[in-house]
Amino acid sequence: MTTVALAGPEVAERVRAAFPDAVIEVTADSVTVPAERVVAVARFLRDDAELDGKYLNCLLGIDWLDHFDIVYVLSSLAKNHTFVLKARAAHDAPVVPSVNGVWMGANLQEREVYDLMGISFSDHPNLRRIFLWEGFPGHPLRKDFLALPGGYKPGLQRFPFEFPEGQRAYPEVEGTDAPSAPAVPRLDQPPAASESPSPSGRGQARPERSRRGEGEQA
Amino acid sequence: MTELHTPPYVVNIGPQHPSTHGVFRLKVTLDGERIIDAEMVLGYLHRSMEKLAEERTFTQNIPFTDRMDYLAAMTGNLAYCLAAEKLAGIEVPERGSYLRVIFAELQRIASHCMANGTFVNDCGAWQTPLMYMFRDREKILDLFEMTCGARLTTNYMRIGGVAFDVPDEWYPAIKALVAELPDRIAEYEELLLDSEILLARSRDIGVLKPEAAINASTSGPLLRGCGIAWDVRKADPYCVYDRFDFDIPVGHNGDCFDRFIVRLEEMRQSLRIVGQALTHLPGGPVSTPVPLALRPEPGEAYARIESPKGELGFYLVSDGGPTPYRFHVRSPSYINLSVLKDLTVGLSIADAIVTLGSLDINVGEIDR
Amino acid sequence: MIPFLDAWYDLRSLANPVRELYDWLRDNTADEVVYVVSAVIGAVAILTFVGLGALANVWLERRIIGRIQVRRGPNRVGPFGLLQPVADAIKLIQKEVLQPRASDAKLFNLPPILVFIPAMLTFAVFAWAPDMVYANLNVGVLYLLALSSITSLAIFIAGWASNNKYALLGAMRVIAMAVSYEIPLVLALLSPVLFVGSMNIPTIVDWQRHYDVWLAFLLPMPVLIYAVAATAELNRTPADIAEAESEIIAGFHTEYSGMKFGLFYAVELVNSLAVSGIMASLFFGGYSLYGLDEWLPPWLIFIGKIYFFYFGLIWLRGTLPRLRIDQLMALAWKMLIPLALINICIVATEVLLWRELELTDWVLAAYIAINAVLTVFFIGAFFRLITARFYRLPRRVRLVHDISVPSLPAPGAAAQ
Repeated sequence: MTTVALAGPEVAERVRAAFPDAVIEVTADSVTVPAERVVAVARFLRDDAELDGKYLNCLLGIDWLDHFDIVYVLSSLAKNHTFVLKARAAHDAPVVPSVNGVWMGANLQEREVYDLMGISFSDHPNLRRIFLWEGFPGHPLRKDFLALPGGYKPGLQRFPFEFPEGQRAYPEVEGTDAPSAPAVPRLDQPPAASESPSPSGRGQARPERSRRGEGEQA
Repeated sequence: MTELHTPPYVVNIGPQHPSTHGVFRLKVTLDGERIIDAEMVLGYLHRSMEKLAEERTFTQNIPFTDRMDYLAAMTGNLAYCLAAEKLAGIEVPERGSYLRVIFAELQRIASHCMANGTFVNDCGAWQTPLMYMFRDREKILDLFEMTCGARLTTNYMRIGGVAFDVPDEWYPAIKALVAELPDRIAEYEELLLDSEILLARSRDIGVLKPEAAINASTSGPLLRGCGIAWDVRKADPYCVYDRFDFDIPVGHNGDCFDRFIVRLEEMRQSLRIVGQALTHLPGGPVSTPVPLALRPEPGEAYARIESPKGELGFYLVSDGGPTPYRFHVRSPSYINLSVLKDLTVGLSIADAIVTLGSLDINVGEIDR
Repeated sequence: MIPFLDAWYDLRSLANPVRELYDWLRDNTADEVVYVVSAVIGAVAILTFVGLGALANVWLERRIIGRIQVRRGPNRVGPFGLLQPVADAIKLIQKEVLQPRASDAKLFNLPPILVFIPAMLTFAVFAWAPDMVYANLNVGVLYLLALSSITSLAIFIAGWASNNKYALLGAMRVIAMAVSYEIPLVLALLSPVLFVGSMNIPTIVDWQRHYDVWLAFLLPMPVLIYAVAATAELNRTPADIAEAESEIIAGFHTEYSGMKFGLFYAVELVNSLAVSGIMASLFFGGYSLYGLDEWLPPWLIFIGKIYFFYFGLIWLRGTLPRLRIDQLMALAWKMLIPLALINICIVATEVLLWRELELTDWVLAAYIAINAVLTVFFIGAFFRLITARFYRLPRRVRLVHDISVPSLPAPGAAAQ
């Protein structure tokens, strides 16, 4: 036997039957509901006899640049099927009701999402940062965390051929008070004409870079 | 006679632990001998692997998975490669799948040797069972070293198969291992399972009820010790597990002793699988060629395996680029910790240490 | 059969050359000089044994435990690692001596010394050979029991003076355990005294030689009770919550560094030798070995027996897990004390019948059989009573071929 992955439309039908206006989006694998309705839908999915989503496999957050998606991978051990529920939250000050009351396994995972992505979960009994310390500037897993002062944008600078039009476009965000990063040349700034791209030239290039970096920060 | 009122006091267990669970800190509030509150402090080993993985190609992320659960690197590699293959729609050749199964099961035996050895060490036996189990673990690590050059962070699986084919000296070594290991496991059972001291230390300690286990998303020996017969290898077979005949050990009570015997029996069942896989090992290529910077179609995929610690899953999101858009690890040790507070409240510290040992956590996987 | 030659060079009894020296001194100097010299020589001899024994025990313990754990013990420092204790001693001596500022200054330095004194004093009353006894006390057994109580007091002073709440906790547990286990210890050591009719240790050894039977065969239950109680008094595994407490809460000797800690460690080893010596003297015939002590030096036989029991203690340490403190107390109060009391009743009855009815000495053979049966019965019964709850559930897993998860209700309202 193998686990059946219930199709999105099938799950959406049952959810719509119970909550007529809760479903925002249906894909082949998942059902998306707005953040405010997630606890009611979750409890329905858990207690429904057909869907029987008693086991929460996984809870994670995804930062799509204009909104957040909280993904709940649910499954039923007794019936051996699995399906995915998603909750959509706004990008500014995202607040999602906590499903800790529905599945206790969500407790630690929601703390992790809060810590690394900055999504607050209301009614969580113990919403504190878990891996990073209180007072850490920012939330690392957000896509805009990388824009540090000085223009430091780490990326695949070793494979420029993968990005013919420049680096992957990150949104321009004002830098937070994160510690200053060492200046690294940006890809969109062509190297100085005197530098040669050969490896032997790299040894000479270093003093050039640091001088240029100091000039940038000044 | 009035009761003597003593204020509760806080004791720090960790982060430098004498047991080998890693840098894990547990702040327990004690009232005399009993624990009334337990608070975990994590993050001492947080290496931001989920963020780093967004900047590296899918193949470059495989060494990260070695270092998450560093005691079970093969299964970490396997789960990630399965997720990437599901995302990109890549098929694995037969020989590659069989080799994956063999190495995953060998890794399970090695990880359970460590887990059981340190569990009995936490119960107080001065490393004697640990040293015995390390004998067998050393033989398995020698097999790993023969194949991929590394004992611990093996980096052996690739998207599309495995990295190298096994050398010639591997076959007699693994046949010798499969022949002698069942006797060793029987020896451990004979020496340990009738010890009244071990029973006194671990029976009825840290009892987990089945409903709570499912609700807290526990998995692995923690779930099977409660009496729930669930194993991802049987429920959702990946690689070629559906071709092998093996049993799932299930406990009775959900206490520390049950998890211990479940792990011992799982070692024996893994040997069964390895034996069957060796007899039917086909020839052919060991992996499908995959481009250096694999660019899967935009989409999401969640793949899970039964790792020695529980259900290890990877949720990968691709946006068409060479790197994952989101790389999330469903780490079994982290989620199994959800029940730690409920299990330890009411016990004494010695029992809390034994319970923590029986959960078999790995901080590399918890903190990532 | 070569009897004792009584020549001064017959080292089978070390008293022979010493007697020559005393005779010479008595002829040439005052009597008090002989007294003082005999005290000094005896003390030096015993302390030499204690010191060398501590060194040897470090090596033995680590090598033997290594072998039990399928590995070699230390084998780098010197041939077969024989200089390892010397290396350990040098390491401990050269460590920085730390004293917490908040600790009780006067009391802090006392425990390492205080705990070593009873360990050394125990060896004074042993009978190493028929005429090698340092202190031929009439109340030898009582003296030994009194000394074992001082050790727990010293440990408590150590825990108190450290001004460390966890050290104090560890020390209090040790006191609780020591006090609890002294009762079965005393009752177990009372049994040979009842049979022999004297607390004098050379007399007890002589009795065993005279009747050609070791008191261990005659009294198996006290031997077992004494073995368990002594292991707990020594704070060795399976009863080593005092020192292994340092895994979780620090033990009583946390604040002690360097040689002070070394003294605590050495005392545990020397106490092990002392306990082995008590066991050998009182139960296993001391220096006698069914006539072999006429050929071999009896003191060598006695040392051999001491190390035989010490090997047993190491074996226990290498193989058994540790018991929790409340389980140890339950073992003492619920199992050992009732067993010891039952044993005293049996022994007293037997001695009474033997002496009052003036039965022949062959009744001892009957006693051996009766006591063996009663031991097996009582220890088995207590064991069953206490450990019955562990066998309630099966100790092997249930093997299931296919997954089957019952449809359990979620902890609905309770999970709010």
